[in-house]
Amino acid sequence: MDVTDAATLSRAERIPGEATRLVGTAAEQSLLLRITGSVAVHLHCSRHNGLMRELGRRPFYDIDFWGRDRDHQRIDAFFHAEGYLADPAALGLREWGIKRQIFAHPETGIKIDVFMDTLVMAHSIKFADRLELAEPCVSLADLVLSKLQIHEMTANDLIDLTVLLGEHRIGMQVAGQIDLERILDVLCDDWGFWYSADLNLALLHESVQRPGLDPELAARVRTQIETLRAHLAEAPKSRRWRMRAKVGTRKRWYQQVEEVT
Amino acid sequence: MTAIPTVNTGVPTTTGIFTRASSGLVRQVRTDDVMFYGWQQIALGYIIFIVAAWQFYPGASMELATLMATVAGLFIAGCYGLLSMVYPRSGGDYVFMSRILHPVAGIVLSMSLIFWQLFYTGVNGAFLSKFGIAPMLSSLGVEEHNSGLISAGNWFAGKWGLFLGGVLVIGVFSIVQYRGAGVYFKIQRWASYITAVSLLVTFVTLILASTGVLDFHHNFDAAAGAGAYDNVIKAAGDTHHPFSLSQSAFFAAWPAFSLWFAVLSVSFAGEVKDGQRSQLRGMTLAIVTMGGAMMLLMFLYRMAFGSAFMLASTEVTPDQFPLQAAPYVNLYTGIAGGNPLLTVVNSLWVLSLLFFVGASSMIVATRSMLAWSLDGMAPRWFSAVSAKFHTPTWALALSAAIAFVWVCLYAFTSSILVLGGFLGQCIPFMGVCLAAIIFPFRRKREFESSPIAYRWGKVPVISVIGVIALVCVAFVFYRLLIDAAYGANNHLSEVMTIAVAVFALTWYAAFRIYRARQGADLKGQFSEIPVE
Repeated sequence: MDVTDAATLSRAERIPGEATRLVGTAAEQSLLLRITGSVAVHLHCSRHNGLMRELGRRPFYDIDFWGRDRDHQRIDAFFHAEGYLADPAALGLREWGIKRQIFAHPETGIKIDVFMDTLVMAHSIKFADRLELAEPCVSLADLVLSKLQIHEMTANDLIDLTVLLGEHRIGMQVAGQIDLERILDVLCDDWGFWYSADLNLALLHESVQRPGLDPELAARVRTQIETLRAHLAEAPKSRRWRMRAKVGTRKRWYQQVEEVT
Repeated sequence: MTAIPTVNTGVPTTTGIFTRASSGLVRQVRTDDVMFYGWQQIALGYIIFIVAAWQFYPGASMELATLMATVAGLFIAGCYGLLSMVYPRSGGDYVFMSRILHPVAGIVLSMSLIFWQLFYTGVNGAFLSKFGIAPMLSSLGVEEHNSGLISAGNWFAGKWGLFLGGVLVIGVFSIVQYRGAGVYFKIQRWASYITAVSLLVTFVTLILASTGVLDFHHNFDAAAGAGAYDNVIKAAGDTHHPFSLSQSAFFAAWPAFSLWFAVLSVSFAGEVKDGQRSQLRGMTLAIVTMGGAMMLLMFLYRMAFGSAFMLASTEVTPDQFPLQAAPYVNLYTGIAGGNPLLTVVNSLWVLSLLFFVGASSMIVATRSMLAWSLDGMAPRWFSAVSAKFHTPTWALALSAAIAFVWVCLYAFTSSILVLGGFLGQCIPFMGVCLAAIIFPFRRKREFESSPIAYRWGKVPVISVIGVIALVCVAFVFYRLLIDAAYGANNHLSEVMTIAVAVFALTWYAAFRIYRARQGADLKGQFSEIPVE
């Protein structure tokens, strides 16, 4: 292992603790922040942390947060006080209606990405009124949705979904379970999102069938996928969903996401 | 994004799996926003003075002239749109010209454009009063036989009315753009929907007037006195001239003054969703839709009001015109409709477009200032943003201040004419056309690896488009220089065109020396696409 790898691993090991600390410190200042992304998967799925590493999950190098747009000035001040510097390239985003702030720590190299009110990616997830449902991370259902909205899945996204569905049951809005109602509410109102999610679940189903994964875990994940897909197929859909479904894939059903360097 | 097989990972993999370094970004400005921005820059409401200028080109076909300007506009849009695919950055034309031609060309030509864009930010506010509010009130006054409304209309066309319109536009849009360009584009979207509906109603009104369902001749006589319509035609004498292709080409500079400016959406090229295609699509759609609308309006105006009457009413002296209002086509549309509500609805597209065109110019100015500053060619405070809205506060304030000076000059002096700023803006247009021509040869590697590396035989498509566009702009530039009817070659315009270039050269020299003393690698900097 060279020095760079060691530094990367050291930073990756510090990241979950740093994320939790930042949420706690922010809460002391009545500032609502919730961890999302791969760090949230790591914190929600403590039984499978080892598995994430074994499967080759890329070490963490950034922390994604969800917050409230009305707090955006306080979020700026908070991260500044914690030693993080705002990314100058991202400063202009707000002017153009993009509710997102990006920071980086000059010493640790940890990057922070804060999304406010709505996650706007290939598909959008409104979360402003859901931040208080779980702590220090976003709810399991929102975390699953944030992975299912992706248009071009990476190996890391598949690992995250494998671990999430392997450790948590799809069920009710109770601690430790993935709230099916929330997923149905979002996906059965948005055909494009529903279609992307279905494709992603099919891709995940295929990926866990390959050899190399614990058969028991693979079977559990497959069952969860089948349960979720069955519910998604049967659940009543909104008029908006049905109208968009008639157009189908003739029209692009997802937003194009630019790379951020 | 290309699908890349996952490597070095123990995850069970399958086909269709991608790599991604971090969370991406979805831009918020859409193709239709680019088109609507083009609509605002084009400002179809200019048709009021474009049609009024028809009298200076005997034998010209307004529709053919507009078609010529539209086709030329598409070639110019080709240059701007294709270059913005290579340089999708805010400040658009400055970025192209500073990277392809020379940094000094970038600054001088961009500063010239911005100076005149700010001229029109202020002056367009005055146009709102003169060509939008005044004719609407006059129409209502004529229909309702209400001299108070006619007087109010004349007040808006007077000095203080022009000043008020200018201050209103500058004030409102300084605040809106301070709240963020995202907010501005949302408002622009709704204003464009209203514009489209109002324009459709105007088409229907004019079709009814053209087919005799509504009787303009009768309504005009009812408002201005028996025989007034025929008396206007008689007073002007013979206005009929045989068709002239050359006069049509000369007249084309007027619609060009409107249609070509849709290309300035490149000023926010870095913020557009799917920037590879949206710019080209948006500006092309804007030119085609508004060019088509302009031609249709011209045709319907002639059919509804009569070509002889339209020419005569602009040729006769004010004392020979029987109404106490300026002889504008929107006044006539109101009279043709004969209904106050219809007059208001028919005026909405004129009001909306003339209200927004100043704001669209302000966006060009602030984005360019931002780009100069990011390149170190302007003070840092040009790119300083507010803590609350992250908008370029100082660039906005400076733009508003310059625009305000122009409003005062336009409202209270007679030194500025409508097309006064077109001359100075043709030069940056020519600069971009030239940049398009030489780009494949001067930046060969960038061209070859770009999405615009198309060729006809061995000749790069962008160079061919650039040559045609350059010929069109050079022709209009030449006409503006020699033909006093445009009002673009008045003394102040010529002096200011040269003064701005001299000022910009000095500015460039000062910043170049300053940056060189700081040890900046300017050559290297201008060979790169700027970061944002």
